[in-house]
Amino acid sequence: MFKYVAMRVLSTIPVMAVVALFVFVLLRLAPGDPAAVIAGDYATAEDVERIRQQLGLADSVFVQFLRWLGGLMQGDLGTSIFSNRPVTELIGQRLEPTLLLALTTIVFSVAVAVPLGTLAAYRAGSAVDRVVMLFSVGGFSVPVFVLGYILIYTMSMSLKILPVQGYKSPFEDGIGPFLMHITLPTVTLSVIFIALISRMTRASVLEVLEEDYIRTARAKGQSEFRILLRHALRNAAVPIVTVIGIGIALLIGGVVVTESVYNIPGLGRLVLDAVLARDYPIIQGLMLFFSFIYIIINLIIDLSYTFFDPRIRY
Amino acid sequence: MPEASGNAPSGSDPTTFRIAVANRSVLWGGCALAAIMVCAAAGPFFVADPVALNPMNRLKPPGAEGFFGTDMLGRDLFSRVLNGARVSLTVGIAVAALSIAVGLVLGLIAGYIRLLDAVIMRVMDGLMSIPAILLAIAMISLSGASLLTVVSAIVIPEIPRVVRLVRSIVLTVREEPYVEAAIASGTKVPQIMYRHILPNTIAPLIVQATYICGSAMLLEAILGFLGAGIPPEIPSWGNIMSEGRTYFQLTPWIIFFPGIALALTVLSVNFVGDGLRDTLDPRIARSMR
Repeated sequence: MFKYVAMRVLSTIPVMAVVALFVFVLLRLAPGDPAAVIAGDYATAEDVERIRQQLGLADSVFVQFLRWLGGLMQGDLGTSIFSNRPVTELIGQRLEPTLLLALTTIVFSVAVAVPLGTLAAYRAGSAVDRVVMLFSVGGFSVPVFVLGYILIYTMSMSLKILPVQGYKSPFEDGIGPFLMHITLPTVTLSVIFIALISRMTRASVLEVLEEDYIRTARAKGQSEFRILLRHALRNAAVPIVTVIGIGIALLIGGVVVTESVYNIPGLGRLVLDAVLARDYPIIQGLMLFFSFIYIIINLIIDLSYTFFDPRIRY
Repeated sequence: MPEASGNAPSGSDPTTFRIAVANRSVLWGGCALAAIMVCAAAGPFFVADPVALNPMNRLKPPGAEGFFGTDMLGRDLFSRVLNGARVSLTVGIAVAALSIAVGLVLGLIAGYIRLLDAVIMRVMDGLMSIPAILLAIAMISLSGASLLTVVSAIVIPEIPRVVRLVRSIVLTVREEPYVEAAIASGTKVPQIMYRHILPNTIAPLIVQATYICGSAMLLEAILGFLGAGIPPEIPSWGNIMSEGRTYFQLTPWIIFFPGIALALTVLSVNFVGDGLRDTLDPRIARSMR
């Protein structure tokens, strides 16, 4: 067990190294002088030179990479070109809304998708199943931001139930305003996640329902609800949890778009502001940060398999 | 398996139901997609110039000036949405073709050459862990927005999934008795790949291509919406919606028309994909039943 955990933790290192190398090379692969590209069309020669110094582009590529990697090891993601502050500090300032939005989305999606998928599997081929599957295909097809605008139009502009945009912190403004503002973004972001999870739940529960132990459970007169909960869902947990992990990448992408639609001052907005300002160290830092999160979450999920399925031993 | 009698209770045989739905979804999705393609190809010849400015008719509601009204510069929205279909379909098809081609080659290499397998797969793991939107935004912001950069920025995050799929097929097929027989009788590696491995990848790759096409169109629109996509001179669904954001409270249809067009297009592509998966790939169809 310990050996497996150690191996699995160590195996994330080459992946992270690839990400770091890729993010580093990306800037060098861009056509033309990266300093000039970052400075933009209206930059003076001094601006370009300043950025070149700031990014350390004057040194050889190898020296640059080692220095950058050394910084990464110490948790230094670089310095913003425009605000001249460490990227880690900027990320820290914007972390709260993004983290809370991601959390509410995961909780809401799982709470909706798992029962929905189980029901669809239990009544496979029925009208309920067809509706759930249709919703799932639809969820994959409607772009996040279009959905966001539809919700703003109906809920905020026509019905005036919820605020149009913005963000309220639960720590400073209270739980009530926070929930009012986070509801629409959460629902918007959840749709594609619900589509993904309910589809996987349906498929894996359907497979488990054909097992012999389900028939045994029925034969000894167990209630259908208990069969679904105790026997079917527990045994179908591993693929469901895995797909949630894979969905994290989807979630991160969705956060960028959702924050933009709802004007939430989180990491997604930080990305977009950085793109507009061509503040490449921020984009670089955020790519690394998000990849790191993705790798860590999937590591945790991998290691949690024994918890969900005691038959899996390492 | 065909159902012999018509009096079987409905829903008792999920297989029959599924295959029927599969064929129907390919049919409906395919028809819708064909219609959209015809509109995209021929439509722009019959409507107003999508970039012709008309400052007298700014932000007109649907019906007053053209079917969909006009945008903030008085351009005909219907014409712009029709023209935008070309961009979406081009990006979707180009991304699907390119990522399948590159992914197929890399996947075959990874599946067949042990030495390169570890290297290729670690690189793919790394690429997969970078969120696609972020990767695309970074690439476009560095190399400047054009149709070519947008396509390549979407292709790169799609490649790892194709590589994984092809590699897993190669690893499975390699163990098949007929491949072992071919190896034992001295067939050369390229011959084995062409005759035995490649045909096994076709069905899953066609299914994968449709999904990639759909998600590429969505990603292209998202990039355009965020202002990091196709430059505004060429109307695309993404940048039409991006321009409509400022006026959303006043003229929500500027976002809704291209949004609905995009959703319908992606939906028909996904319908075709689901149907093909259920009919072409019996292995997955069985597990999804």
